[in-house]
Formats: sequence, C-alpha cells, structure tokens
Amino acid sequence: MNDIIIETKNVSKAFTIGGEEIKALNGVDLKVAGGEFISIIGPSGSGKTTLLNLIGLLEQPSGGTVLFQERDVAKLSERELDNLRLNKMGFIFQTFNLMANFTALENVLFPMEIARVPEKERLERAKELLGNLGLSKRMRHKPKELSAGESQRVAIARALANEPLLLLADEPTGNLDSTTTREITALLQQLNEEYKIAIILVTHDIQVARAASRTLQMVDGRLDISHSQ
Amino acid sequence: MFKRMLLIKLAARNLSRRRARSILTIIGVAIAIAFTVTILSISEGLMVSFENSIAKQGADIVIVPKEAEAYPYPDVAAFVGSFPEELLDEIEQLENVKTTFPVFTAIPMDFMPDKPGAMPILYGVTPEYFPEVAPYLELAEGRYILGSDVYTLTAGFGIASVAGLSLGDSLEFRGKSFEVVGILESSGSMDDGMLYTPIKGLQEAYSKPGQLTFVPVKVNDISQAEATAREISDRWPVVSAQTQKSLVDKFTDLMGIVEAANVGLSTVALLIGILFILSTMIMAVGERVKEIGTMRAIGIRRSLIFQMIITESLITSLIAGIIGCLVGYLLSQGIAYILSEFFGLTYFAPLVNARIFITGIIIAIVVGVLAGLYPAWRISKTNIVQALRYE
Repeated sequence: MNDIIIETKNVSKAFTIGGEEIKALNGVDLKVAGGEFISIIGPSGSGKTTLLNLIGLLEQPSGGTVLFQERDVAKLSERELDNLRLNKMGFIFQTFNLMANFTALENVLFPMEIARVPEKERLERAKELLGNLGLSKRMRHKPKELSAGESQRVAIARALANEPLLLLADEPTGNLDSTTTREITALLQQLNEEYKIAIILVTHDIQVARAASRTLQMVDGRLDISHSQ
Repeated sequence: MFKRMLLIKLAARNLSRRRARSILTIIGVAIAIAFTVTILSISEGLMVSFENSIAKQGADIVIVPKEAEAYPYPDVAAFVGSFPEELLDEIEQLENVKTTFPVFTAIPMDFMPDKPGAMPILYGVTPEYFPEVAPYLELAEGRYILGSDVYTLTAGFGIASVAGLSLGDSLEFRGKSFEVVGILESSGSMDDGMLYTPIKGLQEAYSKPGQLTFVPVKVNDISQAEATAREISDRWPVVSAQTQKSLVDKFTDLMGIVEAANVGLSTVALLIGILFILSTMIMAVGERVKEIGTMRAIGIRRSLIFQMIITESLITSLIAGIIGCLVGYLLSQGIAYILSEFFGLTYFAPLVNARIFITGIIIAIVVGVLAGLYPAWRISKTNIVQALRYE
C-alpha cells in the first residue's frame, strides 16, 4: 500500500515564450507513496500546475525523470500513458470540466465506458459513487443545472470511476465559495482516509492545503523544503 | 462494435447539442445532393428516351430537307422545308438503296392551348412504316392506319393520355377531321408524342401534296451506307442524307457532354457539401477544445477523438445524403408529373435508379469524411495541457 506510486528525479521543465526560455520547474525531487495526501502551495507561476501536469503524465519533462510505479514514463508510448491516466489516475480541475451534454451520471459512466467496464457494473458503481457524494437526486441533471459544489462533486465521482491509485486536483476549490470549499476539502480528506487513495492537491489556499498530511511549498520552480511540513 | 456504438452515441450527443446548426448544415448539404440527384435522373431519363428514339429506328439512312442538315430530325424538318416525293423514284434507282419510306411531318401549333407543351408531331406515313421502320411501336388498342385510310390517325401513348384520346374521337387539323383509329403502347421514346396519319391525308390538310420532310431509307449493304448517303446528298442538293450510325455517333457525343456536365455538377455538390460541413465542424471543434483536452487527460486516445469528429461529420452528411436522395427522387417525379400533366411531355421519364441513389450516398460519404478530416486531425493533435488551459 505504501509503495511509491510516482517519483520525480531532478525534473525540470522549460518553455520558450517569445524567444525567451523560462524554467517553470528547476530540479524537483518528489516521492508520492500510496495513500498519501500531499498538498502543494505556492504563488502563481511558481510551477505547481506544471509539476502536476508532469505527474499526471500530461506532458514530458525537459530534464530529469518521472517514474510511475518505477517505470520511466519517458519510455512509455502515448497509448500506455493514456491507459495509465485512464486506469490509475483521476483528475479534478478548477473549472470542473464536465461534458456539457452528458448528465451527471453519464459523466461518471464515461471513463468506465472507455475502460470497457461491463455495463451493469459501471452503472452500479456510478450510482454508488454519486450516492456517496450526496448526488443521488442529481444524477439525471446536466452540468448547467448543477451548482458549482455539485459540479465539483460530480467531477470527483468521475475521477474515482476507474478506482485510481492517485487523484490529481488542480485548484479544485478555486471556483467555489468558502462553505463549498470546506465541503470539498473535507470530502477529499474523507476519500483519502476511507479509500486510501493518494491525492496531490495544488492550491494557493492555505486552509485547503492543511487538509493534506504533507504540504509542500513551491517557489520559482523548486520545492522549498524549509517551508514544507 | 463497442467502439462504433460509443462513437455514434458521442457524435449524436454533440450533434443534438448544437441542434439548430446541425439541422441547417444537413439542409444545406441535402439541397446540394437533392439537386444533383434530380439533375442526374432527369438527364439520364432524357438520354434513355433519346436513345430509344434514335437507336431503335429501323432505318439505315435518313433523308431530310437540306435546311435540316444540322438537325436531321422529323420535327425540325417539319419547320424548315420539304422536298418533292418524285425524288424517291430517282433515289431508289441507286444500287444500294433497298426501300424508302416517305414521311411528311407537320406540327400543329395550337393543339391544346391550355397545355403548351403538348405539341404532337403529326407524322404522315405509309402503313409499311410501322413494321419496317418502327417495329417497336405496338398497339394498345384499335389498329394501325391502313393504306385505304385518308383522315385517320393512330396516336402515340403519351399524347393520347395527355389529350385524353379514345378510339372514335376526332381531331381537327387545318380544317380536316382525323378519326382516332388506334392508340399505341408506350415505347419510352419520343414516338410517344406522335400522331400517325396516312401521308396523303396529312399532305392535303397542310396543302403540301407530294411533299416530304423526312425519309428513312433501308440499304442492301450496310457497309456502303456512308457512301450511299454521301452520293444522295451530292446528287440531289435539295436534300441531306445521313446514316443512322452518324446520328447515333452524334448522340454519343451529346451524351459525353451531358456526362461531363453531370460529373461537374456532382463535383460542385460535393464541394458545397464539404464547405458546409467543414465550416460547421471547425466551429464545433473550436468550441470544444477544453472538453477534448479533458477527455484526453482522462485517458481517451487521440485516435478515438479523431474518429469521434469524423463520425460526427459522417453522420451529418449521411443524414443529408438520405434526405437529399429522397427529396431528389420526389423532385424529379414532380418535374416529370408537371411536364406530362401540363406540357404533355410524356415520353420523358426521369430515371431514378440505384446508380443515381448510390451516387448521392457516395457523395455524402466522401463529403463527410473529407470535411471531417481536417478538424479531426487538428483537434486530435492539440496539446493536452494547452487545451485544458483554453478558455
């Protein structure tokens, strides 16, 4: 259970913007164990989202290595990366990113459909997840009929659909009011405790970050060990 | 199977999300395809009836007045001139000429004032004309004209049905009353629009006794027909003689032009369809960058996104294709109905065959795939991180 899911070794990421090279990440070493809840805080532009994107296998580092369950992700094919994201990871976004023309239930079913979970099983699971998240009565509603908090809970249910090892949340409370922020934060904590899912949470809200068992601070593309706890 | 169902479901969802735009696009493409199907069936129908009219004729050579040289057809000849029938006695002296069939044609201009298109050709012939030159004309009822008749007529199927002719009716031309003694079966050729009368009676009615406008000729040696036709034209400058083969060749040339026009038309329909769907798809994809980025992040393959967009485009164009074919079919039937009911052009039947339908559907499929390729390629290669950041 406490095996290392993901490890970054001296990773860096550089972008060229207007002919000028910008180092978004500059030698980051991070190990995330199974069941761990880590939050990453830092000012905008400090590289939090870039780090999350690398961990989420959405892009490759310019330098260093990212190991997913001890496999160097640079050596994986696009298809293998797609499969890892589909089956081992769940994503939660600041803007929820639900499929507008799908109901709440269909949004949760979708990743399972892609992963070819049998129809009966996926329907049971989707209903169970939505029920656990207090959305039993909102299953047939489309995203535009849901409140922000409900939308984010649907997105969390979708992220959990394929029973991932790791949940990646990029500013999940960025579009929520303070009450809903507390709800979603508590929910993440509960998921981590009950389901033993590892969570990496990127936020600039200290209160939200405190929900994690470990908080890392990012400054100028580096993890600032001294301020991390 | 699983994937195809999923793709169709996704595409249907996306199409119904932007319902108004999908419907407009489908209408646009359907119009282009309906138009093509209509024109194709009408032109094929025309071709077949021309072909029936020309290729079935039992003559080897036709003689028309010199003035009708460029268009050696009986209706044209009726307008432009005539020549004396004594000429036939001389022409029959030629070694290769076997038989000549004197024909005098006239066109009654005010036959049915309420149906301006119901313009029959009065075809003055001898009784031999039917078995020898037009053996394909069969009687539906009554009889062919006889050598002893003067003011009788045997009506073509089309003109008989438009004018509501039945046996025993009388039709008046230039003050002479012609009795309907026979009605022909439909031949699918222009002969359906003709009224056959004894040549003598018609010449008298039109005050052109002894004048001919059109003479089918049979020869002994078909390989010499061309030389014989040339000889006739050279020796009797008032007439022009042309072989049946040269008429068929002219027709084949015409058909080539029509075919080329059809290909051009289908291409235009294709381009219109592609542009319609392409613009809709580019817009649709542009609105979904973030959603597609999310799908990619969740783990959905690039190839599935690509196929999803193509499926969307293909569904749009296939619906348009099916509607277009049906509307095109109805439209060509409607045009045929109007032409026969109000203009009397009954020999003209639009040909709606499987080939035309298949052409319509193929255009739709090509449109769907081609119009989907670019948007599908563009969106599927989008960088996930950039797509997620897209607003």
